[in-house]
Amino acid sequence: MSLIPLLVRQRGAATLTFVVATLALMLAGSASSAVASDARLGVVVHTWSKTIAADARSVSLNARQRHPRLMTASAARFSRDSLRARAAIALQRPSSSKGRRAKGLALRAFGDYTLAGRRWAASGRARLRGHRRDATTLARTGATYATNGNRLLVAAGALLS
Amino acid sequence: MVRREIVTWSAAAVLIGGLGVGSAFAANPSGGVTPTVTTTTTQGTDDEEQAASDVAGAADDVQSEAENPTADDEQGDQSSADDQSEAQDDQGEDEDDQGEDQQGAATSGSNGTHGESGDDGGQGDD
Repeated sequence: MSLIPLLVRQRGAATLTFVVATLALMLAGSASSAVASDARLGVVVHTWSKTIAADARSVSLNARQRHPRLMTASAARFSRDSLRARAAIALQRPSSSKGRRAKGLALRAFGDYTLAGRRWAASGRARLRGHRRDATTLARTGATYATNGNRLLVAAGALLS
Repeated sequence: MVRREIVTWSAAAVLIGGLGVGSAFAANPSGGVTPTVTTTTTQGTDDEEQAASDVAGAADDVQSEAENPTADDEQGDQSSADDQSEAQDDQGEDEDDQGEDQQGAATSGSNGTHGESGDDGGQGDD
């Protein structure tokens, strides 16, 4: 057997080995990065959920203490943080279909929270002006948005768990 | 001849090994960090439920405050300059989305009766 054909065959086998190993590593890499991007979305949603919860507790406390000015400011913060949460979630790029669905639900949840916060703030201002009927209507509209947002956020959380 | 066999068997071994590693990652994607991810997501679900609970509580309290005929606690209700400006900023935003409010309230009402798939036509993704 001559030496040259043997070397060519060996080089071909080595190339095949290299290609297969590279493909296997790429497969492993893409699978783990897909999970990593979904996990990152989860971390962002969980973090902003905590912020929103803290803001909501402030709104609650101010309302219970009958402090409409403070409640208005807390509600404005709640609305602003919801908007920031939405922006942060929009930047995420989930790779699985479950992750993409969770992202859509979370975006709409925080969108509803933004509107709820605005209604609550407007309700507080109406209360300060002595317009009780307007205050009540705005508070009810805010509650509708909040309920819808809650449902969507819990659904998003379930998909990300 | 022997060399060719060695090379062929080596290639086969690497191929099987590579596919094994790939399928292991695909089947158990989180690999070595499974406990951390599991803990985070379990706590995370709790975070969303806790947030929903706190928001629902706030909605109830704001509604009760709005309907409450008794006078407000004027003395304790002194907001800082920052809070005042926040509230004023938000007032502008609030006036801007009056139309959105009316449309959105209708959407939310319908969302309450439909399933999740029906909600997708609402605000949409990015």
